[in-house]
Amino acid sequence: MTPTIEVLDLQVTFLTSEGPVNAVNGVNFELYQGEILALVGESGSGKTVTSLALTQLLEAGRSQVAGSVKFGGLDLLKASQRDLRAVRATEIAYIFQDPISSLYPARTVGSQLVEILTVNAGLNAREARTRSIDLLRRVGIPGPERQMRAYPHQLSGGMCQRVMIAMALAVNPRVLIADEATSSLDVSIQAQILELIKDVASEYGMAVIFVTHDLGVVAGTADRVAVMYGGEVVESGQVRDLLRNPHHPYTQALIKSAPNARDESQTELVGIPGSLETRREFAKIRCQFAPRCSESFEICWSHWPRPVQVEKSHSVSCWLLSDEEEILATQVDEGLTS
Amino acid sequence: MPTAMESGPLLEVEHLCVTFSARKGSFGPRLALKAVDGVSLEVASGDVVGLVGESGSGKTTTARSILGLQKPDRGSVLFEGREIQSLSGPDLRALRKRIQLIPQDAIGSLNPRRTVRQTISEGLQVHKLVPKESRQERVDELLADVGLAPEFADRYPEELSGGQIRRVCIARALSMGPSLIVADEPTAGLDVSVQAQILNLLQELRRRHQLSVLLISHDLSVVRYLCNKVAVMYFGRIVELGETRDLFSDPKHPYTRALLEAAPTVSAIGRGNELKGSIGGEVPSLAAPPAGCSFHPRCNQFHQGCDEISPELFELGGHRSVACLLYSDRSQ
Ligand SMILES: Nc1ncnc2c1ncn2[C@@H]1O[C@H](COP(=O)(O)OP(=O)(O)OP(=O)(O)O)[C@@H](O)[C@H]1O
Ligand SMILES: Nc1ncnc2c1ncn2[C@@H]1O[C@H](COP(=O)(O)OP(=O)(O)OP(=O)(O)O)[C@@H](O)[C@H]1O
Ligand SMILES: [Mg+2]
Ligand SMILES: [Mg+2]
Repeated sequence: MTPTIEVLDLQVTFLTSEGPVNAVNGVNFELYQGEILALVGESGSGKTVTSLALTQLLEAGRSQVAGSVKFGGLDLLKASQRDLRAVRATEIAYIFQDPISSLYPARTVGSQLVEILTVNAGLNAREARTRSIDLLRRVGIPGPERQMRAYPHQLSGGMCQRVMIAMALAVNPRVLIADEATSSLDVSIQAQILELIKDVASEYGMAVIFVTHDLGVVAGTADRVAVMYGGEVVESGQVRDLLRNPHHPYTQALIKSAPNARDESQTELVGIPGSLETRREFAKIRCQFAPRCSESFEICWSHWPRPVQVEKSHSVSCWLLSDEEEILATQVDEGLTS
Repeated sequence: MPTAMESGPLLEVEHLCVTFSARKGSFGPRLALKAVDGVSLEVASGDVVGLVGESGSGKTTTARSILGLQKPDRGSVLFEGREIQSLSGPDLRALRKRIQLIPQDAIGSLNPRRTVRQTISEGLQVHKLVPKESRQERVDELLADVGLAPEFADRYPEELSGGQIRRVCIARALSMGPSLIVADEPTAGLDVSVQAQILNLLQELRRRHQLSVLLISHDLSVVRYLCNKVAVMYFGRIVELGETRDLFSDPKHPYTRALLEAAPTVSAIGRGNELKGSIGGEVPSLAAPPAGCSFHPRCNQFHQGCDEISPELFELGGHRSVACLLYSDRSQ
């Protein structure tokens, strides 16, 4: 089976007044029809930038993007603006991380939905209106007929988020990119929305990139998980496998620091000491997590850890998983070539 | 400062009501939408009170009224015993410093033309909180507190990730050294390790400086970890109130029970790849509020009277109150 979308060696650098900021550094992943891939990782690790880069949504003058994104015979990173617009209109839909500012403040929710349905999905005005109301109902907006006339500021934060979700699902996209799409929803409505996304994914074969910080949501929703740190994917695998048996020290720490609603004994939360650094260089010269890793050793600081397959489709980039020989060989190798 | 008030709660919200208006149909009659309907709650010094509840239940509207950003049509908000509506001039300015909001719409609250440093030092400057020469240092310190390196100080909001923006808002609130923080979904979208850092920081400020927090969050694990009291809101009303431990271990109101059961957990993978279900039924519309108890159409313990009588909060003892006929009946 060919993947719906295939990302190869994606790199993103921002040009700022303080010099370049390297936000994404060689990300690879593929996504198949109907599959839900969770993208998790520390704040600032590059999840949003990765997802925006896929359809060239980053401001061109201030960022440089390299690599390739294969989608339906196109390389989206080289595609024309016209092709990109078509792809964004009907094939790859986004739910942006900040829903309130992503809606037009001066237009009603209904007119924004109807426009998408008439312009992008080719419905007539009547059909579009009926379908809009139905979509609002499916995302759990009470009194959808009335809320068609509401402006975004008249909705709660979670309602805005759900309107965004309705807009994204309106066109039956082939790929849905949901960035923290349920971050301001209560658990009950969240469950309803996740079920809806899962249904659409399995029914219409929609592939989903699900960016979230909530490992509970990952556990209940995703098929696969990719864990990002410092602009790289450091571990990826099937969801059960990865959550039950995490190998990368960062993934292990991430799972350990999750607070638990059902655990009374929790009196202190263990964070991960230190903070994510800004990368200024492109080269893969060491493990990004080394400065905060309690298990780092010499080679972590001098060589980049290549992904190692620990199980079928579970791969980890960490020197702890390589044996002495391999490490020595790497050091010698690199010594010779440099 | 009036000394007589020192023993009273820091914040006292009494019977707060906020009504929005809308039209029925394009030309129809005006409708009154009761977004907040008689909310009362107290936050004592050093208290961290959680406000949880369904999306659209009126949490943000309550928070905005407490800050004086939304005019209530009834009820009062007392801060240290003084009605905030009546404050003006220097008193109001002082209040603005002592109560800080961490807004739900983080990015919308930041001026896109100002760097992180300008945003955070604004309050320090206006209220002359630190001498000019140590302002830079203080900003760096606040950034470190929320896990951001000093280099972020010179970035503009659009150059930050979602979680970084949220943390700038937290640092801005902390910069004023407030006595009360009203935090509206402060950890939404923050990964667990950054979240742990923020929660531990708030915990420490509370222990050391008696900081009080009204924490609005949909994340029940965060609430359980940080709050000593919890108020559960449904459809504009508080339906249950109690000490965190009691409320989590023995939820009384059918809505609270359903809410706690719906929380996803990491350990859920042990029991198959299934999410806990959502609460059945449809969330009622403010334009057509159900008669009687507003939860009755979705309640699995519905019984006679629930669709007629709208129950008031009823004290069960042990600092627990519940607005549900199941309990007020039993006591009679
Ligand atoms: N326009 C920009 N200019 C400079 N740096 C940027 C820009 N946009 C993002 N960054 C930086 O790139 C890094 C990755 O950002 P990204 O938004 O992808 O993070 P994220 O993983 O989505 O985090 P979060 O969970 O907080 O949303 C961050 O450190 C951020 O500060
Ligand atoms: N300016 C307004 N005009 C009309 N209705 C409004 C206005 N502001 C809020 N509302 C309505 O009031 C209700 C409560 O909104 P509020 O933002 O307080 O909810 P919330 O509990 O914070 O929800 P969430 O968890 O989704 O943020 C919602 O039904 C919303 O549509
Ligand atoms: Mg992001
Ligand atoms: Mg809100």
